[in-house]
Amino acid sequence: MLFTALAGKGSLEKPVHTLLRDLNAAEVTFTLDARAYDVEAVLNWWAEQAEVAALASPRAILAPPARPRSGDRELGSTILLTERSRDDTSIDSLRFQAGQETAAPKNSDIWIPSSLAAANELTIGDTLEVAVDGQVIMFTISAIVVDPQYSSGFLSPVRSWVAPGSLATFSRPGKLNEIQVSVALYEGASADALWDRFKAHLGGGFSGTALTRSTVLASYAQSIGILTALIMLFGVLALIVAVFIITSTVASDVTANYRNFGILKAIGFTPGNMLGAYLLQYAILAAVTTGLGFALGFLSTNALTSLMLSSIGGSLSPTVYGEAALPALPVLGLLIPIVAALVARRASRINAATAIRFGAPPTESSSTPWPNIVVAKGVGLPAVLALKELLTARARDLFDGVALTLTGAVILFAINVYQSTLDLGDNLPFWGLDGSDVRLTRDLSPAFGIAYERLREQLNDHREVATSGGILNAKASLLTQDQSSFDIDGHVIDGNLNHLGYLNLEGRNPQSSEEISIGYPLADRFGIALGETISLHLRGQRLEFRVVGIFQGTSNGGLFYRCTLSGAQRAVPFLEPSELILKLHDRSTRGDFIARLQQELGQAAQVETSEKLVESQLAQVAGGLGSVLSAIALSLLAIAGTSILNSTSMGIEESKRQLGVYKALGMTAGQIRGIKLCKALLLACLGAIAGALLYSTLATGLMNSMMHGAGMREFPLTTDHGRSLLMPALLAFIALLSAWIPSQRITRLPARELILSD
Amino acid sequence: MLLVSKTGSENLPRIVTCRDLRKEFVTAGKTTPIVSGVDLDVFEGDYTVLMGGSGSGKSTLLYLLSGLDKANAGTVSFAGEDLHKLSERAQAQLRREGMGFVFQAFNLIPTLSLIENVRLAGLLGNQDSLEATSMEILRDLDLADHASKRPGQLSGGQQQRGAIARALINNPRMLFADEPTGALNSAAGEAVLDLFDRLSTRGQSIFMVTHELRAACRGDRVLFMQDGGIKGDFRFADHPGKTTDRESLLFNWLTEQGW
Repeated sequence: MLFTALAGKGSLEKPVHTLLRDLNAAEVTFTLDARAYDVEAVLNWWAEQAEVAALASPRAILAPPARPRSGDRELGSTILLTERSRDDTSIDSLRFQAGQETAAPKNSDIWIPSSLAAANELTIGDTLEVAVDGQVIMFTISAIVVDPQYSSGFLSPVRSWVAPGSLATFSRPGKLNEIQVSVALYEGASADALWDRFKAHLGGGFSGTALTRSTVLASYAQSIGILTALIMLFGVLALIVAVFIITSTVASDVTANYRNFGILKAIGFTPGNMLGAYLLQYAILAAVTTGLGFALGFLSTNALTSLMLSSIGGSLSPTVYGEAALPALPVLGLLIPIVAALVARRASRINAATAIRFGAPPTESSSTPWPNIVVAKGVGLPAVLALKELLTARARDLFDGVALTLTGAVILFAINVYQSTLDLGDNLPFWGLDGSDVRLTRDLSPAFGIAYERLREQLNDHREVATSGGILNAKASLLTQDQSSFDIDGHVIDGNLNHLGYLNLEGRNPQSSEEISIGYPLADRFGIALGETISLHLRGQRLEFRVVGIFQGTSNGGLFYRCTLSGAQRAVPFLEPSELILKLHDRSTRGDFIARLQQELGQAAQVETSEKLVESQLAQVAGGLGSVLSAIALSLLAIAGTSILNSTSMGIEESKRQLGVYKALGMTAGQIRGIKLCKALLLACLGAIAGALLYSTLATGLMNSMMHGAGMREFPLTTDHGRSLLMPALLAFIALLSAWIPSQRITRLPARELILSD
Repeated sequence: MLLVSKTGSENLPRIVTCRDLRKEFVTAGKTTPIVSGVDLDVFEGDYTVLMGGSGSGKSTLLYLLSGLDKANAGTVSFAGEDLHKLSERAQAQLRREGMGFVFQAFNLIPTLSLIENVRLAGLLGNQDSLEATSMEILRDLDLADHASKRPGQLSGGQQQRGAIARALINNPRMLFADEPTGALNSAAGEAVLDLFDRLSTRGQSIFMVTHELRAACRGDRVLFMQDGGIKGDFRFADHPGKTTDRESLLFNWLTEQGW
């Protein structure tokens, strides 16, 4: 786990860096509306900057609001149709994974990035149906490419390339106003500083979208970063448990060989010889296990990064993995022998005469008045003796308990975090989204489109609809106190935000045109408090808003705002929502309702469930999180099992005589074995209870702190009680299995051998 | 080979019988016979002592006769039951109800108090009124004040008496004792032997392994073992005129046997 945690992020970042460099990916990519800006002047400004190495020819772009379809399937994300000119090779080169490499797509062909192809199982020759301005355009996929900025699958809409000049053939005149500009910088130049200068040049704000290389890198590495942080956390826990196991093993070994050590001393062994023996023994063990861990770490790192690396056309390089993971190798390799030697110091201090005559001194154990052994008449002798053994627990029993507790907590964590992610559809407001049940994306063309107000009235007439609203994504710039600007995303919302289910961490939802709510990362970053007034550049206009609410959400990492439609219309009076959201009286009927509504509206709107919006990202995040958490839980389960197996073996070895006496007193081998099994079961029960307590104490805080950077201060962690029962069952199973295997020896050894053992 | 005791034992029922009993150990591919074709009858109510030098096989024979170890050949029966033909569960049942064990190293369960050690055996033997009986036995052995102490808190003599109490809780038909005074000082050893005398007087069958003369002369019958076989069988009752100096009598006999 530690090797994977160390190498996971590095193994991905390095190839992505290499990819971005090899394909000469733009440092800054921005889109602007040609109606709002003088394109030539903007391009000239960029060309004049000393840091700019190259400027790509402006590309025409079109962002259809609805997701494209392929056959009877709808894709998981929207696409950004981008014209690729034949000489567009200096910046943002592409790497062809499938299809014939040409200078530009042919008419009716489309090149899609590898992540889109993989997520939607698209291949060369498949068709994509894209709704543009009231007509459906059919594209044939002629190439699957590694697009340096968009192959992570975490940026939406996803850039897809079409033939030069083709957008004008199916888009209405006057609609094709947006262009994309790519800028390459000289090495060492700061994209962020240049971007700030650009905004200052524009007068403080920019009303377009911008993508810098740091955002691109984050899109590749952020999810892996969260997963590797999780792996690191549990890797450290596993390391602590492993140290416990080594400690108890060496301590038991010293006890078991006490007399032998006395003899060795008597024949001339020095304390240094004794320590050296342990050091060498555990150094060999450390070399073997660390080497094995290093190799297994490569496999798990490969599993962790394979999806992302294959989307950029690469695979995990052993050299890159080695460089990232190598620093841990000597640390782990030394830790095991050092711990063993520290514990083995007891062997070097043995008094030879006492050891030879009397063996190891008996372990002092405290009195166990409870339970009275007579209760065994009711509950069975093995159970009572197991309980008494536990109450006079040795250190290794405590270690087993700690291992089981951690494992129990991690299993609960894995089950419930995974389940909470899957339940995202039911918790959308906690993730910063609205609480609607149904979402409609309007067709904005005059051919099929219905005017916003009319459509909303039409929807409100349905008896199933409890409340309705409209949403428009609108980028803006926050004017900071030092008069620079900061780009943020936001939602302009029409309707009652309370009724639509929007939640806040502090304050309330905006109601009037002068009110706004913002994400807490934005508030924290700029020290904005409730009641303060902030200035936003929205569609070229400066607007003042009073902050009435602070919320959480993962959109744009929480650098997000919400305001009312009337508030945004102060900048652009004709502004209207592109999407409508509906809250139903009865959510259970929404399947039928959506089908009927889609039939009623035809091409005027695309109707779907609200969670569809996040479905594809959700599948990727839940899939990754699920595999990592399962792997961690299984690893800890294996460690706990090994610990119990080890303790049971040691326990049997050390108490052979006692077991022989049990046999002499008339206990059957089954009853004696029952003591070991009952003890393991009791440990599992205690581990399950302590694990549940640990989980309930730490899980929410842990998830909150882990998700804090992603815009979630209060992770909506729900406990699935049914599935959580799997935890005690798994602990009981592994504990029983780990005690069952070594306890077989009890049945095989005759009582005489046990009683006369040293 | 000597089989049975003679004078005075004809009227006693046999409790343990073995015929052509053999046991050998294999170490590093080499087979060493420990018990070589022993035929023996042990009688109910007898206080039988098995003596012999180190490595003569006396402890091994005790374990074979009690079923705690398995012979390579021959038969052993306890109270008429052929031990080799009994299942593991039936053997355990027989040990619970018919046998008591006292070892040289006491072997009290360290995680249990003294009285719990006694009660553990009682529970296995399905004793009624266990709490009262166990306390009564401890009182009888002068251990009542130490009932709740852990073995580690008791002296060697107290531990051994505790082990005897544990062995007696189920009124066993035979008390097997393997060097019960071997780890005790002379005073504690004498106390244990006195206790065995009392038990024997009450009719308790005892089979004791020892290498100490002072312990052996407390018995009714002494068997001498050498090289895996029983070489001599001595019964004090066969020498009625010489009871005043049992120790000299036994010593002379043992010397004759080659002790």
